[in-house]
Amino acid sequence: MRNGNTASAPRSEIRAAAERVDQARNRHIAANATDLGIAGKPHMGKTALTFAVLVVGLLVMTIVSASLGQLIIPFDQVIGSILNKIGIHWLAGPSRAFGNEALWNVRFPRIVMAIVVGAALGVAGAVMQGVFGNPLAEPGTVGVSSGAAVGASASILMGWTFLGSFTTPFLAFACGLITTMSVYLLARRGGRTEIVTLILTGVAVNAIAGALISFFTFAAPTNARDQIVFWQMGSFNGSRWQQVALVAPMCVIGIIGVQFMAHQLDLLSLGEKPARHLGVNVERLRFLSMLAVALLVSSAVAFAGIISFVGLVVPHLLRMIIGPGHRTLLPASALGGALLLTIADFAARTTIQFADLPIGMLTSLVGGPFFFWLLRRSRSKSGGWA
Amino acid sequence: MSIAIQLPWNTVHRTPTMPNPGDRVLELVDVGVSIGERRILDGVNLDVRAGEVLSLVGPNGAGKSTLLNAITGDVPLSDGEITLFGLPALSWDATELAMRRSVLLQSVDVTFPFSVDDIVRMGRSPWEGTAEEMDDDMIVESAMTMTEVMPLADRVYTSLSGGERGRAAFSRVLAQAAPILLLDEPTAAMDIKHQEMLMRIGREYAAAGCAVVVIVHALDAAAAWSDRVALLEHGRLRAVGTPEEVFTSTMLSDVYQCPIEVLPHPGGGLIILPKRPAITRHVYGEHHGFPDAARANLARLSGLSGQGVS
Repeated sequence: MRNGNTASAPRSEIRAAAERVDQARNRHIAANATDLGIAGKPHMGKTALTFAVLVVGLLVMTIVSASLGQLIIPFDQVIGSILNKIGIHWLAGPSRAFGNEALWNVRFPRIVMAIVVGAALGVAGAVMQGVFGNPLAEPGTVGVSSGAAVGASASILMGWTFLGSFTTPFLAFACGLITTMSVYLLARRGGRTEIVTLILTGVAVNAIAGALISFFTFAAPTNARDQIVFWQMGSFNGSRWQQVALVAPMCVIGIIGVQFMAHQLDLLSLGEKPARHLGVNVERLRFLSMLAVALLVSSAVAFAGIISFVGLVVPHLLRMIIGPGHRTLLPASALGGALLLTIADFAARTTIQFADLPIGMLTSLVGGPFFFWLLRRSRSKSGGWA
Repeated sequence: MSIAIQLPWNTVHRTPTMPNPGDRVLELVDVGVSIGERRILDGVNLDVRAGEVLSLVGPNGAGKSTLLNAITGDVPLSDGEITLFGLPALSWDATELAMRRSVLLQSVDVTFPFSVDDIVRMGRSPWEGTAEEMDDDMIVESAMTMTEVMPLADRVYTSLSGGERGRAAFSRVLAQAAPILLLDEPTAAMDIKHQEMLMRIGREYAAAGCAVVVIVHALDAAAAWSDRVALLEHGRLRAVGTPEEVFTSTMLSDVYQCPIEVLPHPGGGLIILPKRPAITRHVYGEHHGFPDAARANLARLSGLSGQGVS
């Protein structure tokens, strides 16, 4: 009897101690995870704060960008001009001659274009990364940008004008769409596509497109050659309301459309088979996503030309802040892309006086090192991607 | 702050009714799978009843995983038919299938840094928009408690160890709350406590009226936890029945091409052991009583002179 008691008393103590140690360890792990920012479940507040910062940043940048430039219009006059337009006469509009014209005919269309294109590129990047299950994917992977460049340079070289000034954008849009869809269809076999095949098909098609662009650049006379080269560097210079009216609806449709796929993209990150086991029609999801990406990016580059790195960096950065759930990541990427391009366009316009820098150059110049920093950071934190 | 949009034209899915114990929930009739010229499965006939745990066992390459993939619809059949709840498997759409069977694969890698809680919650997605959705929180919580992943809830799935991932993935599969549970080597990366926990949960599910099909490598675990076992060999079903019927020394030795002993355990159940030779131990590499013949052999193999080995 006594032996049994003495044996069991320490045992239960040991068990209790082990439980305490366990609990302490788990608390420690949980606390550490939050500290390191690797806790996957972001705080509600963090997400809301991010959205608030993005929206406020976008509003502020719009007003800053509208007010500064060769013709300086004070902030209150910019706000006054906007309010006047919607019938509120609270603040006075621009006092300088042609102030209103500069705002409404030159700056606002340009800013709105940057917002729309940025949102489209940001969302397209997030969708691509979700579909490919790879944080390195971007719309360029499946040849949207290079396809669009082929269409644009062909039309510049041939001097086609069957749609007036909209010929080049239209051909860029159409070729971007066709290239992406042909990459998808070429990679498809027996009703299925594999991601690696898709990426490698993209590499092949990108190479062909690159060759065609080189040929068109080579064959073009000096004037057209300049145009082809500058188109590929991207610019919002000369954006008009007419152009915005063409691009914006397609981008808005695309951005709202992908929101319906957000939850399925979450499931796809478990892998193709587990997603299917959870009731996702993976092939349909892939096709619809590619269609949405092609639509978004083709219409984004049609007038603005190629702007790289937005689709890669924006979703990546936001995923680090608000977590990987696509229901919040997709709208946040739209806002983030819009904010980034408004800032980039503002810099392109104002860095060097009387010169409009190519915006694609700026985004790559800033995006490249930034992306490298992200890469190093995520490596030191979690030993690699994810 | 999540923005969820439901498609207004979403189709209505046929929700399952819970089967009665003994119902044939899954039937395989003459199932064959060929990939290219290779015949991986041939003439497999099997029925799985609600309320039982059926283990699939067999040597490497016998077709266990292919059989499971055929049931889940990931591998197309070259002949035969698979019936789920009395209807051909192909007549259900993806969501309806997901409401009826949940699948745990050998390893699940997650691309993005989702938390364990997010991952388990994904298991509820087939039920989005149904009345079942009301119970999401309760089901997720109980699935996580059962598999002991509650302390890991806020951690990033990709930062977990292999065994922890296995439990989190199992938890997701439980949260799916489907009447058929298909598990492909679920215990592979787990320690012995969690291996037993998983099989016990499988039994509890079966007792509640679900059907559990599980691929197991450990024969003793299969014998201890399953109602029936199906022994596969070269893509064919060699035997189906209770562990006592199937796991005989002659049968196992023949199928695994390795002498295996089966002994009754004094507490009931079976002890299954490969026949192993008695070895001479070389503690700290010291070869006490090393037979001369073996020493000469070793010297010859290692190319050393006989004196080098002491």
